[in-house]
Amino acid sequence: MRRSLSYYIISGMLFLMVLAGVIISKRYSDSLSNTQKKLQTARMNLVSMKDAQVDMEKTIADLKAIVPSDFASRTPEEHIFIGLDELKFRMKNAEIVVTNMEYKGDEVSLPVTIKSSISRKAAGKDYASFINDIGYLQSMGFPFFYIGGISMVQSQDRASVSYEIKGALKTLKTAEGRQ
Amino acid sequence: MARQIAVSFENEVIKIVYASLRRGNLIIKKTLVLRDEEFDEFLKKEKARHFTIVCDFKSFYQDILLLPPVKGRFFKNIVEAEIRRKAPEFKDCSFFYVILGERIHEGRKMHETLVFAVNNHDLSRIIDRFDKYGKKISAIYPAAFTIAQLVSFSYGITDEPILCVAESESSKILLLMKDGKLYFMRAAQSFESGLHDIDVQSINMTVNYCSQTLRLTPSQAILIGTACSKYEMTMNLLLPVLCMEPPSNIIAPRETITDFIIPMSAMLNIKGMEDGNLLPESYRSICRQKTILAYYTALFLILSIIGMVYLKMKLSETADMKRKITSLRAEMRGMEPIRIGYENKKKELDKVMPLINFMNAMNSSPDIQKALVALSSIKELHGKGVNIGSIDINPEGNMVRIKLKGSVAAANFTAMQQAYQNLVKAIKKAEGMEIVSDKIDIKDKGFQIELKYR
Repeated sequence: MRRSLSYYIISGMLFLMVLAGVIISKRYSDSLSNTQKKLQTARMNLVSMKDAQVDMEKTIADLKAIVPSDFASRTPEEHIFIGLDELKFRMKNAEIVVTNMEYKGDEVSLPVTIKSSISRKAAGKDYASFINDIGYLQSMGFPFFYIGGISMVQSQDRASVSYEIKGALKTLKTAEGRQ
Repeated sequence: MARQIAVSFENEVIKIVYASLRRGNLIIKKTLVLRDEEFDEFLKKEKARHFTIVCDFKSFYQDILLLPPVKGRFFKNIVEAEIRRKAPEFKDCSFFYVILGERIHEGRKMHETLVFAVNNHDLSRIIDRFDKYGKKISAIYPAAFTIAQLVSFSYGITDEPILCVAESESSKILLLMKDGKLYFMRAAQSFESGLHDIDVQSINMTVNYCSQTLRLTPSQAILIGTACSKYEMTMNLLLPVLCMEPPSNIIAPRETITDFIIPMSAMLNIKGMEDGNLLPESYRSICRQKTILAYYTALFLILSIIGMVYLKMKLSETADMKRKITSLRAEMRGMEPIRIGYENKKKELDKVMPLINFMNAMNSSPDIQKALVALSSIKELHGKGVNIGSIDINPEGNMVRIKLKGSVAAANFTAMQQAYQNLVKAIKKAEGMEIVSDKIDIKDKGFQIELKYR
């Protein structure tokens, strides 16, 4: 009986040791497998990084092409006023009213109200000119013109249509401006 | 094919039979006769571990008891208690019992039961002898019991009482049987093999005892084994005698069967043989525990081997993974400039990101110019019947909300409704236009239409 018990204890201990070994090796193997997967993902990410780098270079180049060359050298206020002058030059017959500059984060804006009228006599021509002016406002860049709303009202005698464009000239603070 | 070894303790002589049981036939391989002092040497040398023992016990208790008919384990407990009561010297004993039949005793139905008990002390002497050499005993049978089983198996079951005579070294074993059941047994001294006057005297005395005490008169005497070898007597037997033919399923020379009939009788695997096993409960329990331990040991060893194989596989797998990780790390070190270049570009892009976001926000405003062009393309707006008073245009998310106010100039209500419906239809048809709400006032013929342009 004693011998049987000894064999039982020895075999039990051997089994426990092997079991512990199996558990440790399983955990170690799982951890290595995890590391391997992460490294493989990282390697794939590096390849993606290469492609992303090309995309970023293209984006920066495109941006440089869009942004005026003097964007960084002038203050946002200067840009806005240049834009306002150009607007006044373009819409000579319109009444352009501005209020004070507004600053919101990096954004600088100047609220603008444009008032004018279209004659019904030369309606086609005047309306086309009005639409072109709207297109011009939408195409402005540095400063941009944000159209907040347009209101058109026909006069009592139905001879003309007066309109009012509410909006703002907007630009960003340049690096110089921030300093 | 199960190999078996049966050991029969017959006074100073020990008879050993090696046999194997195959398809119901007992094939005798080898027989040995040893003196008691040679037996330890035999156990020491013998490689087999399991033995069946037959013993011609000199000290035992037997009786026929009338016991109440209860079931299973309770009956065994009653038998044990009855033995202790009737034979206090057999306080610690192993026993077997045979229910001979039912009898009405004092108006109650009782089981007539043969009880045979042997002191555990006597059994321990045998067990210890085997245990000393790491041998295991499968069963210990009293010689009389195995002979009775053999007679039932070989001679057949008869309702006539019969007296069986077998020969153990220097004694005769006498058994009374009826219906294949053992009723009484005794060992009578005898100095020679075969039947002689002294044996006739013992047989006649036993017949008289059975007739007077047990009220069973045997009809014949059956001589078993060497008891049948010689027949030299001057006295007359009280009953006819016949020799029992050895069982046909024992494959061995006739002489060997005759000489070793007692150990062979224990190997025949006859039904009901296990009932006569006198192995003490404590020894059986130890054997069971040893078996359980052995099974667990084997299980642990098998699991350990499986675990080791798994470990070996895992180790090679781990080494392979380590190699791959090292190679990946080396590869990634070579790709370090890509990462640095990416980070530099990312920093550069992060600097201009507010500008990009601002431009995107500005450019995401809806196209009001297109909305105005779409409005001018609706002819019904410029028709004679419709007069537009005001237009309000407001950007809202990625669409333009337009509110038209005006009136319809018509002579009657039908014309008014017609002109208004034409206007609404025309607006709905215009590309990108969607009417949100519209209403016309009948009193002043003024209308209000709210549109969405995408």
